[in-house]
Amino acid sequence: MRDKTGARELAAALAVSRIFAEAASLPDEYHTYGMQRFTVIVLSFALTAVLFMSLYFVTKRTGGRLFGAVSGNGALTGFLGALFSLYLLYSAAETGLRAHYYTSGTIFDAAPSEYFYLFIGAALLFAVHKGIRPTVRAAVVTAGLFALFMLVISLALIPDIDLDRLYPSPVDDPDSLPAQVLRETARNCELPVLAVLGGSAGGKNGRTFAAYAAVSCLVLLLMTFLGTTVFGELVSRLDLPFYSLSSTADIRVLHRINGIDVMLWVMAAIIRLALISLAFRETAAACFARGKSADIAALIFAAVSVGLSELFTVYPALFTPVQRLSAACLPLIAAAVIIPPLTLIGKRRKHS
Amino acid sequence: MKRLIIVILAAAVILSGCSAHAELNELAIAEAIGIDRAGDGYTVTLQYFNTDTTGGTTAIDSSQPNAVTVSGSGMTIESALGAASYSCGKTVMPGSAGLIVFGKDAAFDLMDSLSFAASHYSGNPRAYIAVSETTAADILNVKFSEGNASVEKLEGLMKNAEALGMSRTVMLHEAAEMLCEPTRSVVLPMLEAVDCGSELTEEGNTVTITGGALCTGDRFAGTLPPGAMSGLCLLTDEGATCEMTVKLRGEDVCLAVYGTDAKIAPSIENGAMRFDVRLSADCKIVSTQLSDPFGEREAVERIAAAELGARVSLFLEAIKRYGADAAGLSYKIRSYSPEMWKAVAGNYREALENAEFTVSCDLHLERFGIMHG
Repeated sequence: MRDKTGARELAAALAVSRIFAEAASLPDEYHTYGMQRFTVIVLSFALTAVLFMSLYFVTKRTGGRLFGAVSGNGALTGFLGALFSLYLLYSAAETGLRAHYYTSGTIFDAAPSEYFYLFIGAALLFAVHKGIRPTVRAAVVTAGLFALFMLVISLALIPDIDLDRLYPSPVDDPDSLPAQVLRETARNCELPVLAVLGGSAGGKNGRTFAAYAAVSCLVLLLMTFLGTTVFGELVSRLDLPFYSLSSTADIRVLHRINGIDVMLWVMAAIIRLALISLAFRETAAACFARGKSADIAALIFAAVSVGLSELFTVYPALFTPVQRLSAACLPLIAAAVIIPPLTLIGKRRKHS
Repeated sequence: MKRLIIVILAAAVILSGCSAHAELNELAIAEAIGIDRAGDGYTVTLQYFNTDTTGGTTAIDSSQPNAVTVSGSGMTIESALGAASYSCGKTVMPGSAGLIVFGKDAAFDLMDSLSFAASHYSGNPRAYIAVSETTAADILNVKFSEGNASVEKLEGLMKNAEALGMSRTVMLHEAAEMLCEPTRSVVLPMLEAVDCGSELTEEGNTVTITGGALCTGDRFAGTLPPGAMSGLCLLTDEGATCEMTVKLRGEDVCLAVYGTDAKIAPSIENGAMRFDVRLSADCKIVSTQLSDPFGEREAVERIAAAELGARVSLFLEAIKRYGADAAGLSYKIRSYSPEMWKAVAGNYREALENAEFTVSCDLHLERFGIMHG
């Protein structure tokens, strides 16, 4: 790990990254109006905490880094690194797709999408080249702006909030609840990212996770509360729920602030992509690359993930089966529950 | 790092003029959009801010009606908007429109028409929505000369009507929400252009509010009189205000009602929905010819409460007649009992048509004016 950062800063970066997953509802992800959404969010973070246990105990023994003790050793490590990288690649491509979906629905509706890739590409180059510290710093700034933005929007929307839209039924449809919880949990690709990058925050993975999960959960609950009480039944038909909220918030001086919303979500997308790319760099450095070649591999990874997201955008039929697999939470379980104990086997083999 | 930021900022400032850009006078910044049915398609009338006003010493002349209207037709609203843009020779910016008026014919497919504005990334969710008694073009062709933007006058008109209890303003996001509700019903203010020698416009015409238009997504269900609109406000808006004049012993008592609060308790009795509406409000005497208004307060409260109850009942009758939940009663049911909602959700429209409504009103006279008869 070339540079260090604080646990709280890393938690803020992971929270920004996680919240980005709510920027746009992709097809198959539409939220329905109802109190079940609150239950889904709370249960998904509870399940995420359970999934984190495996990572926690493994990384506690390896100084906070998943592949820390087995770097560059053996076919098993290479295999595990490749599997892990595959998950990271999907997460990055899905993030790119979501970001493209969001921006093409908003500001880039009026601007060429090439700008989007230029911007994202430049930011990724910067992140991979400079390391985790500038990425985390940018994330902290974004988190601060986002918190301020949430506060302003919440205050502006108070006259539109109708508490009659809340009702005492935490589970409307018990049949769909497990699938919804799994789908929501599957969005936590920050879990494997933390397992790899946790070493840069002094290995305090437990504390980092607790802060990240608590903040993300609270923000998602607040966003859901605002969406439900302001839009009621309309939330079922919104592709970009938070953008719609910021468009509806009437700030007297600024009138409409949805332009700031776009800026924040694009920043959050860049941070998520940068974190995933950095996680890949660490994985590559530990499992199958050395020195500068890990940097080059990370840049290639970033380029491939952006290209793959474009492929998913152009050919949704390619994305849908992968998305369904991911929504079942299987890739996350593989990356967060199955791979970590196997790295310990790799460690034992190395030491023996 | 600092040098890099300085270079980027300097480049942004210096080079931004080199990229494609639009001058203000090349834009038609929409103030209001009118949508009418034209055969199988639509006619869109656009009222936009005129940045090229002549006759004044400045570009924006507040003594002139700075509003221009153009129209275009097409098979879809977007294509009609494109035709309007072509006609005016400017790039249309519909996102800042503060008012969207639907002609009575276009209100038949309000759901489709609204999706144009609600799903557009630059659409203004806080734009007011209204229906024209005739065509939307008739309303937008009335150009008020007072103020910079003609549409501000229309918005002010609707807000004042709401304060007096004659109508209820509806924004785009509210209308879109109501159209997602199970009976897809919304009540919009009904506007009418009248020629009355008004000094507010150069042509002498103006716009009045005649009541409400009950739209049920796929049809224009009917017109609601101002009394029913007042009932809607009392039922749905906490703290709604209205004015009323009641007669007591042959004398007029003009009252201002405020601080209203409606409690709705739904239940199912003998398989039919039942709603108990309890309305409470405060009021004050604005003017009266009664010799002892303080002594007559109970009688005044009783008569005024009956009038408020009648207004609410008038609106509820319309809900029952059309099976159209334009007051968001479904939320009240869910909030009261999710199980009850599950029981009626499948055939909610029928349940409303067969529902029973009881209305009671409790009015408290707080102030008695400063003169009596």
